[in-house]
Amino acid sequence: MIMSIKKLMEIDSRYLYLVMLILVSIPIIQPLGLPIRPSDYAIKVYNFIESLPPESVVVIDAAQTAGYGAELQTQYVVILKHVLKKDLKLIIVSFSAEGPMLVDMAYEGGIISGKPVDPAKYGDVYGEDYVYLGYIPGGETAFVSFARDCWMTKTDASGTPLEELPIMQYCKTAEDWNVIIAFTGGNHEQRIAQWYNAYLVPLIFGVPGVSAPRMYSYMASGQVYSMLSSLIGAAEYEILTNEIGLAAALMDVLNLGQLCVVAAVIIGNLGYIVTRIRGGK
Amino acid sequence: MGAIENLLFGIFTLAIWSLVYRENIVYRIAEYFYTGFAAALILVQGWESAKKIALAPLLKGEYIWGLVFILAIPFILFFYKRTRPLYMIPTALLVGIGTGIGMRGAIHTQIIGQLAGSMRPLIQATPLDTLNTILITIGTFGALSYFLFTTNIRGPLKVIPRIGRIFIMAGLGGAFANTGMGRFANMSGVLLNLWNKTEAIYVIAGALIVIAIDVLRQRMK
Repeated sequence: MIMSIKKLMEIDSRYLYLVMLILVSIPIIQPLGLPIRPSDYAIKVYNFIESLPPESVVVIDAAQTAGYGAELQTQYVVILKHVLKKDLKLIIVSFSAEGPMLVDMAYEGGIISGKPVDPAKYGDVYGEDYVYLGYIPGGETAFVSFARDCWMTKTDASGTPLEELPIMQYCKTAEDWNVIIAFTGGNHEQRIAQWYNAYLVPLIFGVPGVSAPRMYSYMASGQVYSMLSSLIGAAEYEILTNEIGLAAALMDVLNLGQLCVVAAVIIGNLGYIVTRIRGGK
Repeated sequence: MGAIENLLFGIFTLAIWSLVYRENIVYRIAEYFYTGFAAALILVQGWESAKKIALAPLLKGEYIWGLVFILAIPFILFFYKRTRPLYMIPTALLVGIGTGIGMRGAIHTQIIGQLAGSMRPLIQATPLDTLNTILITIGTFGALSYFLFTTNIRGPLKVIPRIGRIFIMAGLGGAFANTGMGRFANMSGVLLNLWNKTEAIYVIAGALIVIAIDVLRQRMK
């Protein structure tokens, strides 16, 4: 037994990748349908959007990037559907250069996005119920400028002057925002500083798994209202909104992959302990 | 997506993943393509927003926006040795403004806000919340004392930084687990599309054949 654990420790790591690849491919071919239970954080986000009065201004910072792929895009898609379904005024803006590409992908459907989102299906009209202002470069400086003057882009993403878009009458500065939801893998502290601390606008984050631990302290201090974390956050939200999409479909893959990692960590630690007991290094 | 797009998607995904097998030229080509496309995307998006935010008002007579383009010139001059130092002017301006804005928010966000969040009454509404607050308090004191380098904590008090170390380890463990989950989430999204796109399946088969040949070649060596 001890010898076999030692042998397992010396195995080429590429075999582990192969086992993992085979294992995570199983639920794609035959979905397992493991249950998903929404977390308190996802429920909090859902209840907040549900409780917004009609014609409230919801700003979405679509700063997701291709690098964070399915994690942020699935969150963006499901929140977009929920906000479109409600009688709310939706302002979408991107503070990352890849944002416009992924915003378009949500409407067109495709890899890491799932089926296309059609705002007309929810009775929403472009320019009246929702608008996309495009990419604003500049990081934290841009956060400040946009909060002070939401008309700073002068036109929307397709070049229509903002004066011609009735929705923009609802949104002049951050004082008009009822909530801002940012999908981003970085610059969280800067967003908190310039939007929550400066204007006390409730701030919800859609974050990749790598950024989630940092959010807990900001939620505990009340600086961040709540968050959706990684693919699991999107899947939970899909369950809450009854808009089952790509995230829920991918959860089986994620669960089996994580089980494989846990097994590898346990075997690795057992091997380490055995080696130590036998006096090795 | 069209057939060609599916094929390209499959080829580039597997080319990047081929690094897991070993370093190879196909991976390098895919990496350079990705870097090039990402840089091109940023350039195009940057230019589009510069046109929208600065050039359009400039052409309408708001000459103050001309400053944006004047300040951009030294960045281009960076590529000529004699004019290179000029890039420091707009850089200094950017750094100055960025630091000023950043400092204003950072103190409140990362110090005052976090301190206020940590200093809560120990007794909360529910027993679980109370336990949570007690753990946060112990963890905060412990982790802060672990980074106290001005004095060497000795005697019975040295248990405090040790507790802090356990909290830090637990935090890093949680961060690692979340990172792992995130990476898997991204991989699973791509994997699902690889399996579902008919044309990409051919690429998987092709990649497996290439790997099999390489394994045999290595063995023969």
